[in-house]
Amino acid sequence: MREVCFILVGEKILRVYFGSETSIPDLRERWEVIWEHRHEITEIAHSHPGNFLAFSGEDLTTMQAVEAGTGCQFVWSIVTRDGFLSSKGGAELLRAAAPWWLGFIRRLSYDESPRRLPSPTNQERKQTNECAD
Amino acid sequence: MNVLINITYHGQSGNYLVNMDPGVDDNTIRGICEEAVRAGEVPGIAPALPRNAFAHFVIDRFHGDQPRFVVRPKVPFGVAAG
Repeated sequence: MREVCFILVGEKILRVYFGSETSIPDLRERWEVIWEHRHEITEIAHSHPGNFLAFSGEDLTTMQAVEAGTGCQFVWSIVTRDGFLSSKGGAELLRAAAPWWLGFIRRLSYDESPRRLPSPTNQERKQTNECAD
Repeated sequence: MNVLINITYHGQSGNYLVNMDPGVDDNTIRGICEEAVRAGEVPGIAPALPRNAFAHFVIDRFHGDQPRFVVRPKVPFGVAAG
């Protein structure tokens, strides 16, 4: 398992970041991407190990700092194997509807195939190519 | 030594040139920045700032002939304490 972060503009993945089993470290480049695209970014999602479907203390202070720095509100989401939780403006919501990228972030986070990234599906390739344009 | 500090807050960004020891700790830099913004000394950033506005901001330090610091929000995530 590794924590994965997606920065999203609507249904498109703007950036992907990989972390360890328990964290995604601070990275100046990630802040620069958020700052540059702050008026387009709609959602920032990341995965948690196991069934830890809650925003950690680290998550909450990051969310507060990014919104204070940008002056923008985003949808923040946690993904686990079985759960999908979002927060906006302090209000949390368990989401039942699954965007196309939910399966992709789970595969990147939890795929236990030895030493190999899972191959994207055709739909995932199409969405990623659209994002790269 | 003169240090150029770039500060970002509430969608605004500004630079503050201050004579200081570039080795000073992060908490001191956060305090200096908060006071500078409140005093209206950072063009481009409105002075109305809550207390401890930069509590969860980090300092990127660039050393050289002109030391430069960037005060920006932290962006780590995860279940482990940072």
